[in-house]
Amino acid sequence: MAKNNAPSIQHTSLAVGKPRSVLSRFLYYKYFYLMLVPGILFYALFMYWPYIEIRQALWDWGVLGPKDFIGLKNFAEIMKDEIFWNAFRNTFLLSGVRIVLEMFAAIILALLLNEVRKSYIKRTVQTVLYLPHFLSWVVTASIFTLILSPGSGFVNAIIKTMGGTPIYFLTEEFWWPIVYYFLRLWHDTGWATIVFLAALAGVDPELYEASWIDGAGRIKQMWYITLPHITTTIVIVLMINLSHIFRLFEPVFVLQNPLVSNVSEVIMTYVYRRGLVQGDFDYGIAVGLFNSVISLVLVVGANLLVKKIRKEGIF
Amino acid sequence: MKKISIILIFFVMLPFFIFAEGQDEDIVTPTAPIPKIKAVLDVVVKVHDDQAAWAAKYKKLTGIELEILQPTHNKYEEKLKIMIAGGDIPDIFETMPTFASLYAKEGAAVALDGFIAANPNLASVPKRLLDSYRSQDGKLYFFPLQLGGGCVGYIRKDWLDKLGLSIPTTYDELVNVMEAFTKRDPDGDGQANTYGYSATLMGDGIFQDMYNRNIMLDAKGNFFVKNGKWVDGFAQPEMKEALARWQKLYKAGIIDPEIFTNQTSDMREKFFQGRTGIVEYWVASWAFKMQRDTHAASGPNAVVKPFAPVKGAKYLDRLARVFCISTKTKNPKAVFDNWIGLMWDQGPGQELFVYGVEGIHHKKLGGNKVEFLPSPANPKIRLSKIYVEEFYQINDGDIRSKQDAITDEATRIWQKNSEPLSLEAGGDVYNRYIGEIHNLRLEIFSKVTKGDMSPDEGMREYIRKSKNFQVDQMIRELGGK
Repeated sequence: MAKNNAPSIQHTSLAVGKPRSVLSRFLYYKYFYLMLVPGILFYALFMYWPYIEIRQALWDWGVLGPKDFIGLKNFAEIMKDEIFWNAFRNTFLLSGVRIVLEMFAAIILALLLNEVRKSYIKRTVQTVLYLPHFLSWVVTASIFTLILSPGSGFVNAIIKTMGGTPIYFLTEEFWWPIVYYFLRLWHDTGWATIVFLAALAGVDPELYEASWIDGAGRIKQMWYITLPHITTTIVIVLMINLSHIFRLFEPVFVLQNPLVSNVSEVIMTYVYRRGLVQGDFDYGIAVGLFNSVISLVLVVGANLLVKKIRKEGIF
Repeated sequence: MKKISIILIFFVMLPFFIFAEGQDEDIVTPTAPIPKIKAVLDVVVKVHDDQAAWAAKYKKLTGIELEILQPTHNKYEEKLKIMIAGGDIPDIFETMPTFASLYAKEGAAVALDGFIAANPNLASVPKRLLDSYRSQDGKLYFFPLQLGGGCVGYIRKDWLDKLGLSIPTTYDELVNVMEAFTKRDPDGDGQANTYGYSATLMGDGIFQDMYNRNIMLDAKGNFFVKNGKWVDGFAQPEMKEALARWQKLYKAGIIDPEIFTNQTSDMREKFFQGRTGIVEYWVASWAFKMQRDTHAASGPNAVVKPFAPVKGAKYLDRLARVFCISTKTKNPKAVFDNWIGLMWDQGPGQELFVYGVEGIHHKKLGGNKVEFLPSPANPKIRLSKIYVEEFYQINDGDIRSKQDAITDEATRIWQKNSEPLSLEAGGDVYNRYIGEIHNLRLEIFSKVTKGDMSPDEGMREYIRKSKNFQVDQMIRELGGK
């Protein structure tokens, strides 16, 4: 039989709070630290090492590498760059409205699903709602491009049957954001309900029973018991969403075209276009860095706000 | 006696052992001046069509190991740019002339003039052709893969016949045909599901005026040389007239309403499937594919016919893709001689670049003739090109393969009715704003075509907005200032 060498915490001086040196603690927990190594290496190599290339934002970076040191010139240009500020506005709008719509829809859906008593119906509905999430954005965009085609799409076929004029939805500045929001809701709302359903499962059933005895109906139970109990989850999800607000790329990229760039160009697509397609690497990196700083400010700001309102934040 | 017989048989058979590889009997693998060439290539024969055999034959001819990197076609330029900027620099790479100018300007490409002058294989290449690739400092930093190439109009002749129409020769006749193709059910399926004309207007981030010459007529949507000076084609008076024509056609509902977002592949597919009756597309090997794929998608009775431009229009002869030899290469002359020199040797090298490997990509017929073989990846499809289009050889190399009538016809129509484009090589401002200018052109084009603004308003809007992108400075840079 193999000997169990795992440290037994209750028999150690560390467990009873005697002061020990950092080194001895490290040696004591060496196997746990060893298990951390792959994760740390992964982050160091793929998340932090590339940050060295931030330096490109400070150089005039040619095809063969750095040419001249230009300091903060790229950042000064960003301040005057109308396309960047338009992309900034679009990012904020497309992400912000999407977050509000999606969270609202996900909470409503989760509350409704929570009320379904037949478990097989609940499971079936959940599965149907989750399915779109597993379609890649490229496939989703292709499907909807066909559906919305002015020549052969069935939406326009209906419009024509009803005597209307076909609409080229994906090239109209008015329609493009509406199609975008609709697709985001269709694609992601089902998936977003998972977190809220998990939070709802944690609400003590006795509270419902007690409120029922006190005469509360379904709506009042939802309002006074369910929602307050999932508020922390809502705040955390909101915070996570806020941290991603400026990381908007794929869903927009696969749907956009130059005709609607005024309403569909977001910061990440601008970084891609300027940096990679046009080969303006230093400016692309400067815009990307600027974007990261704004994201950081947003997350910290949102956390402070939450702390002020609820007396606790997530960091 | 037995021993003598064996010795005799050995000596009789000796030549067969020595030249066991038959087809290469005239080739002696030379001593290579460099062991290896790393090449980033786009339109070379694909991996699935036995690129390995092609590289092996190259090694047999030169003694040089060939490492080919072939990024996916629609992201090629982007990947190449990233590779070079990341320090992963090949010895030789293929690119578009506009990008090649940028690489040359940044010192990433060596000047080739000395190598060209010293290589006897290139004596037969017309000087005029090479001059069109010359940079503003008078040097040649890149060498064309082949002649430029261009597009012609293709029309469904069976639809014309069914409707009692003939191939249009004037713009009015073309409009008449478009209308008939849209409204008179040319495919006879009883449904209104066809359009007269389809096009693409944006490809590779560039406003495309190559695939729609029969409607553009004398207008050009991009920078071009007019009376010896660079101008912005989109701001010229003839563009306003072109916009008015597009608007009228769109309003009449006789052109594909998805022209603004069509990729070239969408436009092609619509033609193959009989959803549109006219497109403009590439000549040479593409002409054969236009017919083959239309037959595959619309049946063997579909007849594809290339046609000359309508009165007042000209097809375009664009500059070809080019090769740059990188400044990081240790022996650029050896790379030049063993790549570009070999390509135009009018011997086994040129055969490799035009027809590929015997027995895999082509077979020899009687005399000088060859026949392309079925694709190794898909035996149902016959190969029509390996790397250099045989119609586009720059040194008058023979057309050795058996040509389909349509390939011959389309290419001759294009050769007779095309005008050359100049090298568009700008400076910093050009490189900074060219993407925005192309987007602006498409934006204005689509707004006018859809009727959101008049041609006059569109022109005013374009001129106003393009000034924000320093279009005048871009033009000055194109002129070398």
